[in-house]
Amino acid sequence: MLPLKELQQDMLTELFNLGMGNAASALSEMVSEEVKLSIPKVLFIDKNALTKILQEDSGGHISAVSQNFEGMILGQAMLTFPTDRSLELIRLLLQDSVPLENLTEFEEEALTEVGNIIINAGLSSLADIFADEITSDLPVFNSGSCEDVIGNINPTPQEQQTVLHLQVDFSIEKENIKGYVIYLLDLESISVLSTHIDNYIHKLSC
Amino acid sequence: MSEKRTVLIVDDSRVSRMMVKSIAKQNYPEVTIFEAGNADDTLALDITDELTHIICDYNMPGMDGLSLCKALQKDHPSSYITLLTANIQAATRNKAQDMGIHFAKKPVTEERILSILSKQGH
Repeated sequence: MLPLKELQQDMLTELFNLGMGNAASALSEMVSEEVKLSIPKVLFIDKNALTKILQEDSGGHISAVSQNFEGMILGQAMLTFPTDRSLELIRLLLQDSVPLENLTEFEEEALTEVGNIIINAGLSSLADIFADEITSDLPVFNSGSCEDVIGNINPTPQEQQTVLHLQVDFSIEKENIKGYVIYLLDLESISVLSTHIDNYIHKLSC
Repeated sequence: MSEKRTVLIVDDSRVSRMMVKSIAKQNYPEVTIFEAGNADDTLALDITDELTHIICDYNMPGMDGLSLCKALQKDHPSSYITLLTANIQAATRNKAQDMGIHFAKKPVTEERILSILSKQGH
């Protein structure tokens, strides 16, 4: 059963839609290409189920930038994309700032900065809507099998294995680059978020 | 664009520093650039040149960008100081504004960097 009521979930989807709009705009500026977004999917699943979703869509290997955040809510945000497309993304990003032959040297750092910008665009939008503040740790880069990458995200205790998985697909169509932005919240943060959403809905209906 | 620029770039992302540096050098060939990846390294630079611009990230290992800007304001009161960050929350923008620090959102773009470098401090 979903821990959120239908209206709360609708509101949450819309909030992340706005946040990802900012993120897509940032990514589009970085790569000078149009970035398309899917409608956010809101799922309550565990990390094993998340791993399976990523495995099915990525062919097994992903690169990911993850960032812990805290403040009004606490959790992890993650940007993932198939490893075999990451160099293409970097080429678009760096353009003539770095000679082509040196591109791989900057792969991890460039992807980390992309993740930092996209994740924070989403979090900033959420904080602003609730007139609150969210602070984030430094971004961490991981690359490998979906299982390893998801396993490397802050291991959560067994009782907190259910996570809110907000997934937005983004694609740079011309370059055939597709990825996901994922927010993971434990049950306590989901409860806090639902209170924020209720207050927000209450204000709207006054 | 002949006016001399002396710019300090502080960002833990080497890629971001490179992008800012590349844009600055292309548009101001005479520019002098100092750079560092965190607050400690910045303060250890012991810069005696008069900095026209300071461009500083917010979220870095150790001291955050706003605290560093506050420290730099004392030694470089005439510099045009900008917080260039992915953290685009109103709370962060307001803190910067209250300190008299300018705010620019990431990603690094030519338009954004040139807009910063075209401005003058006090």
